[in-house]
Amino acid sequence: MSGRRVSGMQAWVLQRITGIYLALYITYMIGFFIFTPPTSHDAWQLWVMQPHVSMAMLLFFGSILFHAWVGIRNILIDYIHPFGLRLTLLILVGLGLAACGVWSLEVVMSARIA
Amino acid sequence: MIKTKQRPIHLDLRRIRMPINAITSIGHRISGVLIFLLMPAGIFLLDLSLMSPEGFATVAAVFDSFLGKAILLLLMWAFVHHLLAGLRCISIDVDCGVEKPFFLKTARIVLLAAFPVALLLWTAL
Repeated sequence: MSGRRVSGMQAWVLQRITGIYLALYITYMIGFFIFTPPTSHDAWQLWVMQPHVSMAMLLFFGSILFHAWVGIRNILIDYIHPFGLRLTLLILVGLGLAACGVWSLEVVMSARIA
Repeated sequence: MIKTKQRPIHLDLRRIRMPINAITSIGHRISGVLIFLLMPAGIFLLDLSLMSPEGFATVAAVFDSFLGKAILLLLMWAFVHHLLAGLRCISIDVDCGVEKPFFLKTARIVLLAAFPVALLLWTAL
């Protein structure tokens, strides 16, 4: 078996594991905002800075970034055929997602310290 | 050597027949891209809401504005459609719902259910 097929398998498994976490987390958060929406900055901040909440939030960002990478990569490979353009777009998407990852880590961690 | 038969490979959307499951599938992709594109705005708003009471008030005002509500409704549809289509994918992965009448039925359910479910959640927010 070639390395490429293994890598496709990893992406397939990763997409399902992150997908299930995202489904649970986002559904929970929609419920949270429907039933117990935070009414003040203090309440919101205190809720977010709890270790289990910020940890779940970081896992959410990690999951959505990997999930987006696999999904967007599939779409680009399907529709963008010129190699140079495809590679350029893949690099831009990858860098954009990595930047979002660093940014979200910074946001969540500074909320914990504050 | 046998010459490989030339198969018609084209991803020209105007020439492809679009049964209901194809529309659900395209919707899965469109909703995913939409969520991907809105992600930076989401992180920005999260940052702002946690930064200060003024920032929190600004974010609350954004979600109270017409544009904010409209984008939130769109995002809610994208999430619900993406979630339902994803669950359908996983169920097909474990060989549940692969056969044709059921396969098309679940595609139709996903496509049509996403709108009312999203509207209901959006109204409740």
